[in-house]
Amino acid sequence: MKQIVPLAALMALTLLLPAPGVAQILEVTIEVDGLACPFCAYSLEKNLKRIGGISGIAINVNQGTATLTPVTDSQVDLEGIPVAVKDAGFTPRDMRVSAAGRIELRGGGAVLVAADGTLLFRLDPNEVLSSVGTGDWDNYEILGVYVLHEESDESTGPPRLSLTRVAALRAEKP
Amino acid sequence: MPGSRYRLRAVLLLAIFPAALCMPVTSRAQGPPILTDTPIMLGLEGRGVRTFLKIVRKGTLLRDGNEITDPMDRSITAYVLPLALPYNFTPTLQVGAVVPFVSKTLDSRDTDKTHSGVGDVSTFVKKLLLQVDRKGETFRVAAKGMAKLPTGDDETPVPLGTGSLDYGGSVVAGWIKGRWGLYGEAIYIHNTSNGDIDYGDRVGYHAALGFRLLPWVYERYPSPQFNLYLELNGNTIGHTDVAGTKNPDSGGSELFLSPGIQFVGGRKWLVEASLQLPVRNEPNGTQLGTDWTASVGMRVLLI
Repeated sequence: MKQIVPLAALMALTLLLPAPGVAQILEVTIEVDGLACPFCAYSLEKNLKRIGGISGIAINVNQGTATLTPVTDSQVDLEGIPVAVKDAGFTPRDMRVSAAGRIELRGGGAVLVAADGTLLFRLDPNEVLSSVGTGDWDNYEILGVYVLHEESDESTGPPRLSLTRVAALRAEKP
Repeated sequence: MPGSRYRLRAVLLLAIFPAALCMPVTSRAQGPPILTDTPIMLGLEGRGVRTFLKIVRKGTLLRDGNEITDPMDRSITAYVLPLALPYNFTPTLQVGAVVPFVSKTLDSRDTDKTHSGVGDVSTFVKKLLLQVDRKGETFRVAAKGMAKLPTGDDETPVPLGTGSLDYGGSVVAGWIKGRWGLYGEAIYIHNTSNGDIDYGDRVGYHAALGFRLLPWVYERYPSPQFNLYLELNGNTIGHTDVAGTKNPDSGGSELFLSPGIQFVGGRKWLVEASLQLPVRNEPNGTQLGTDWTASVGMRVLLI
């Protein structure tokens, strides 16, 4: 039963995905430390609303999280989300990003790219990424849930993500 | 025996309040305290307006803390409506002003005088010094500087201000975890003089325990919530010197136990009420002691 629930959730999420080949961010959830008082959550909501490309914000005080839903096919300023949390007077922690795209090998590393070749994320090598299988990277479209690193050691380029979950959307192999 | 009366009130309140608090901690969060300051300068504590009607009743003549008969049957009733306007330059730096509208009535056997108008305006600056955040928990400490301006009319038999420029500072601490909040503030105010009247300095101390009564589990923001508070609000004021001579019937100490209730109705507003009952009422010499104060107010977030 425990295995069926996440699988069903993943399948449901798959139905919400855009057409294969279009890479995009589906949802972003950031953990917010210090979010202990509903009366001060207003400043968090107000600061997150300033982030471009966001259509909805849900603040869960009990979980200490804020979940942002991007506008379809729009760019989301991921780096600006923890900055907005800090500007609101709280401490940003891990940020989980649900995204759809294609994993490719570029410059000796795995990347998640959009259909037009735009790099969305550089992917950290880990067990989940290894489970996809190097030979299949350019043959499958991938749905993944990622954890954005709190601190990036590079100031330029796409953000780094650690893959925590993947799902094949469409097998192009016969 | 006024002392035993105050102790009885304290015992009753301390017995009733914990009964409401003996509930399991299943989720997080409650609201800002009613009478005690908070170092958390966010949301309804920043860039908003706060006002409340405070009624102060002084009708018991005390000599060295013991009730005595007043042949003049004097009493003072004051209605104070402070308008507090805090503004956050950053999440860690707040400035503000408090403009009080005062109506004071002095009653006695042979006179009845009332005077109304703007009282002494106060300004303050608050800076966050320490912030320790964890999941569903925050502990913060702030320092506050204050100045009270002599804007209230002090030239009438029922003065609305002291006529002195007073200034001081305080340290404010606050901790919120689960449904609980704990706050404290220690204040020192240097009261200056008005002509040949030299007011004694004031030491203030406040503590507040808050508890979110409803909802049982706070899930999605915003949700309406009820909070309960139990606060201790104390003051000790030094003697006033008049033309270099100490006035023995001035200054003293008082400590109030203050139960309160608060309803946070949405993102931008809350209403609250608090009753202050003296558990220690020891003005120096012979003075009218405070019987009670009651506050009913609201806070509205402007921007």
